[in-house]
Amino acid sequence: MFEGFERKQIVTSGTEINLVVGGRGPGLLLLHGYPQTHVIWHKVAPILAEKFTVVATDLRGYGDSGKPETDSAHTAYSKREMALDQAEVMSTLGIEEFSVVGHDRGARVGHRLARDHRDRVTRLCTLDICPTLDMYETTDMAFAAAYYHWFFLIQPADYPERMIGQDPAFYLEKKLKFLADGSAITPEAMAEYQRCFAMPETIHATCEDYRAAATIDLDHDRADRDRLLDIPIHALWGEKGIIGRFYEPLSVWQRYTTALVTGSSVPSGHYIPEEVPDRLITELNSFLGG
Amino acid sequence: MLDGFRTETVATGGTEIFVRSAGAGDPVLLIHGFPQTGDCWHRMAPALAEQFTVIVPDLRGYGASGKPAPSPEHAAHSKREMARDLVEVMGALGHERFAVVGHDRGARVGFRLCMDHPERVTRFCSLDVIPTLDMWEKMDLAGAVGGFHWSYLAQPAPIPETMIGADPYFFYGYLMRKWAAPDFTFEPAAMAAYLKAMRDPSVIEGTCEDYRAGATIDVSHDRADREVGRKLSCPLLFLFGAVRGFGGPGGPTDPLDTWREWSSSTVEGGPAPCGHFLPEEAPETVLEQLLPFLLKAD
Repeated sequence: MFEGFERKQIVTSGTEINLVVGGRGPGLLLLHGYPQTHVIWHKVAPILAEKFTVVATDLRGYGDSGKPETDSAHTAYSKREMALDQAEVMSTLGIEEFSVVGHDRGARVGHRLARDHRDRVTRLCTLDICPTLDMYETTDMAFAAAYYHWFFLIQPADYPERMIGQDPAFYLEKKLKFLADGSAITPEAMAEYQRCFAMPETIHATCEDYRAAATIDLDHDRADRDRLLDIPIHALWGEKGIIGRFYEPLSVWQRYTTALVTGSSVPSGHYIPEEVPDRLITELNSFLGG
Repeated sequence: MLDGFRTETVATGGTEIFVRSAGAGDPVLLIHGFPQTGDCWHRMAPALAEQFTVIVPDLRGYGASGKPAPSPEHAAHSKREMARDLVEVMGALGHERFAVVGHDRGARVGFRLCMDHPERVTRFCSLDVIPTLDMWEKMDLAGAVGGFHWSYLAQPAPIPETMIGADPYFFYGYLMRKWAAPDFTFEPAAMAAYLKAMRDPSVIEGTCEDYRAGATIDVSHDRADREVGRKLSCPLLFLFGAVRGFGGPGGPTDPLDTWREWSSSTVEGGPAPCGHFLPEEAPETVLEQLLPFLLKAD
């Protein structure tokens, strides 16, 4: 995986970020989600690297990145802090302006990155999410039942940590079942997810990511709700997933930017980069002008 | 627990129900909730048995009762089937008409029993429960966080079964501490009885199926009743914990209103100075309200 890419550990003001970087051309930052690592991009990164300088990181708390200590306000895992890591990583790599493609939690970090570092992010592509604020503010029976992990993972430490930690491999496997095609995750990638998720620090940090989303991230989102973005957003969601069932993603995202929102559903479950990599590359080439 | 109560196992159309009973007089059915057994009535049942015939079953899927296999639509764990068990048990024990007191899931079964078998029920007391449909309809961010177990336990098998089964007491014990008032301690002998049941994988499966039904088929049954305007026709007493839940911060301004919408009879009640586990945390308060309610002339 990631042949020809260079692996780096970059120190940020808050932690240390593990990443691979490769290719040449305009900067393109790829941000993975829960409960995975940068490895989700292994099918698309080599092709994107033909036209872009591709940077695929592990978010703080995930993969081989640092897992900083948290506090009762979950500050260390606010999307603001997680996004700051990414802005600093790109600076260290000498990339001032870049596009961001984020899946799942990575798309939430990407959204916050675009809001907090407006001069840095030129385009944002989100995979299978709607903004956190919308999702929590419209919580009802159907959503709570379908997205149980949003409510389970934010229970006080270390309740979900222990429930998950008793058999992380079982939990991870079940989480990754929201796939249209069960073979989409390669054994090599799965082994990486299992290795990283087996670390107790990862389980705790990833719960903190969700706890932050239900508290401090909502505060941040409410505070700048009226300060719209001015960059194009491309939203893709799995047609066999949950997002399209509960939301009209294009109109929801359009409320967050003055520029045009484009996108569509794709023939996939939740794990778009691994399930429909070719489609994703086509979409990104068109959206990013590759 | 419940020393001196007669114990027997009654075969119903769908399973076998373990039931304890004592006393003489008008029959009162006491239905326990999650994650407990009939032992949760240990501080109330002996006092009630001085004036009433008290019948204390374990629900199907719980305690020492039968554990029917899960069925595709969760019908086997619907409140409808659970209520039918209890109607049959009461019939087998010779009680045609009786009062129903339910706590937690037991109150959901009690509600369904009142709706499906109105001719059998004289009075209904719900402890800390409003109907399932209303619970889901009122669910927002705060509700989904506080009641995360509603969606967690309803996840497909074997996700919660496996995760709970690794350390059942950690899972159930946490919820019990969270729902009880902070200074409350469960009676050790009662806790031991709950623990013994929790360690049985078939009980873990039964509780998950109870909640899966609660997220699907039970909601359909409630909705169907609402659509045809079916109401509770017997008097209702609704008591709820003041420290946690309905009476606590964030609860509705008048929890009795929800029940009034479902009732064509009288609705009374109010808060008790405790958390969720009224039968164990505030048995005196419950009895003070319950005894006159049960003794009222029809």
